[in-house]
Amino acid sequence: MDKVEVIIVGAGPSGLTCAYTLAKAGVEVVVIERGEYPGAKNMFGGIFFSSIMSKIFPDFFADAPWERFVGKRKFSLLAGNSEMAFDFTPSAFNEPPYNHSFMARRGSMDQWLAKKAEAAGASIINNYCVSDFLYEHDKVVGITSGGDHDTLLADVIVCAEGANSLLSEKARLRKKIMAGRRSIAVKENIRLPRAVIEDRFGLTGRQGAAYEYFGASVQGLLGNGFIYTNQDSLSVGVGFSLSDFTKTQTDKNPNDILDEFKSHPVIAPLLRGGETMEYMAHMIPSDGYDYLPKLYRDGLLVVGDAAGLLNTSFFHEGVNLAMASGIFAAETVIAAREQKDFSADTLEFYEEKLKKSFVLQDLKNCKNFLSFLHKHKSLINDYPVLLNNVLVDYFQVCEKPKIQIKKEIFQRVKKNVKFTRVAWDMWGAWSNLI
Amino acid sequence: MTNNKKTALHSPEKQLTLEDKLFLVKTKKDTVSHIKVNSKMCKHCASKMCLIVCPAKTYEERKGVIEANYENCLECGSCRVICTDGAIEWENPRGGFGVTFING
Ligand SMILES: Cc1cc2nc3c(=O)[nH]c(=O)nc-3n(C[C@H](O)[C@H](O)[C@H](O)COP(=O)(O)OP(=O)(O)OC[C@H]3O[C@@H](n4cnc5c(N)ncnc54)[C@H](O)[C@@H]3O)c2cc1C
Ligand code: SF4
Ligand code: SF4
Repeated sequence: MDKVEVIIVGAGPSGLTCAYTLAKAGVEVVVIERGEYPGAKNMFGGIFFSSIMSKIFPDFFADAPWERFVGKRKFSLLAGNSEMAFDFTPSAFNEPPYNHSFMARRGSMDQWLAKKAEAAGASIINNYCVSDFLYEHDKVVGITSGGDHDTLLADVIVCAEGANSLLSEKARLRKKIMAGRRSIAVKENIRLPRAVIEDRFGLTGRQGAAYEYFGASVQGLLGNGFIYTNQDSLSVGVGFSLSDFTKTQTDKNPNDILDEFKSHPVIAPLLRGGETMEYMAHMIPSDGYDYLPKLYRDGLLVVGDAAGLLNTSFFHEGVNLAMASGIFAAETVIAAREQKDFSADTLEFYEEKLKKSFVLQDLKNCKNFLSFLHKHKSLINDYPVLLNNVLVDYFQVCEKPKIQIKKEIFQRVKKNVKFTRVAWDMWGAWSNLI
Repeated sequence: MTNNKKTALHSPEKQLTLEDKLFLVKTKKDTVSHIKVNSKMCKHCASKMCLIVCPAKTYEERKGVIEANYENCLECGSCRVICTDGAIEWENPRGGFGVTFING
């Protein structure tokens, strides 16, 4: 059986960054990808957060296939047929380094990263799906695609398989993933002429807009809808917690929920005349700090989404955590190689690095985000409607004195909600969500 | 057998059906299914959640038996995660088979 120094399973941002870092240090590394090419199986929102990327590849801005920089952001609450939104276009987001936030498509971005890893000396094998690891006693020593001859051995293996973590389960790094640990997202790529996108979203040049919609955007489920502008198309999708979906016992499937989002009176005009090019689905990890899988064992490290390293709060950061974990895994492997010891005792160093960095500190900080929202669904369902009604009443044009309108609003709100409850919810939201 | 049916002319406000959308997905169909349903286990399942959660409506109930039309699968993995009875045996399609997302 052939043997190499390091095998990486999965050519996403975590696996490819790991491969690049290893190859650059002179380590023999092979990346195995089940798709036709890196990115072929991948889908995200998405915003490529590039702070790490532009550090390792200074030509990122000039050369990478990003679509638009995120110059405009909007957080919106949908209620019935209405919208309330917080929209901001800070000048800092519209000047280099553009807050390290770029709209991208995974097919082209992952291939760009793969070229960088190959140029540094990594090999990439596409069209090969790893069905299981090979073991010697309790140590992971290789991979197989199922056939007797399709095997490859290595000193150490990095599992970068993403959110549908089959191999991590097989390696007993985690129990079978349950609905509480994942969200589902469906997305359409909708083509529109560049000039229409720029006029409709008020954009100039390569400026882009990232709009996130909460509340009625996903039928009151724990999740949100989104619109991101590419150069000549929009990414339009919805994502929500699988456990909330199963508990809600809706008979709408994710595609129905996406269709209803698209036809919401606030959303439909933004998509008018567009042509759907593609329909896609993917899971998003929501393991949370307290339920992360084991991150290593003898001969094996797990990185990125497979390790549940995703910031589930408003920030939606995934790719930068994936890349950071890929780099930490590579540094750990380089140190282990010097000691010629790939046992769990040495690989433990990886977890320490994650703990000291923003990756596990941010995950720890937002660990109550989803459970808090699960318990306080009124925040996404009732308050947007309430707030909307208050605003409609407040701005109504009529012959009543304003002071009387204010009194009426106060009375109506008092009838519908308990102020102590609102204060309590807001305090909870402040401490758990922000 | 690569199946890249390019785009169909339409606009979102005309609401494509799910079949229209699946028609747009580039897929290389395998001859073997990557999904197996152990329908004996489904007998105790009240929710039949696989029929609802799947964004490609891969699952169908025929004469009380749950079947997976694996060719439609978008490989998200959600069915595997929500089936608490462990009736779904789900593996990735073999290397190079299944979906290819162009605009992910
Ligand atoms: C709808 C959606 C929106 C998102 N939006 C954002 C966003 O705006 N910003 C952000 O930062 N993050 C976002 N994310 C999260 C982000 O996409 C992930 O955190 C990131 O892609 C994780 O990278 P990864 O390398 O760990 O895994 P992936 O990118 O999933 O890569 C895994 C790779 O492994 C391959 N693979 C899997 N199993 C095998 C196997 N057995 N054999 C061989 N190859 C295999 C896959 O084909 C794939 O190429 C979003 C995710 C989704 C689904
Ligand atoms: S959810 Fe699982 S157990 Fe229930 S019907 Fe579907 S496959 Fe069977
Ligand atoms: S993996 Fe996703 S698309 Fe495929 S059958 Fe399961 S739920 Fe449907």
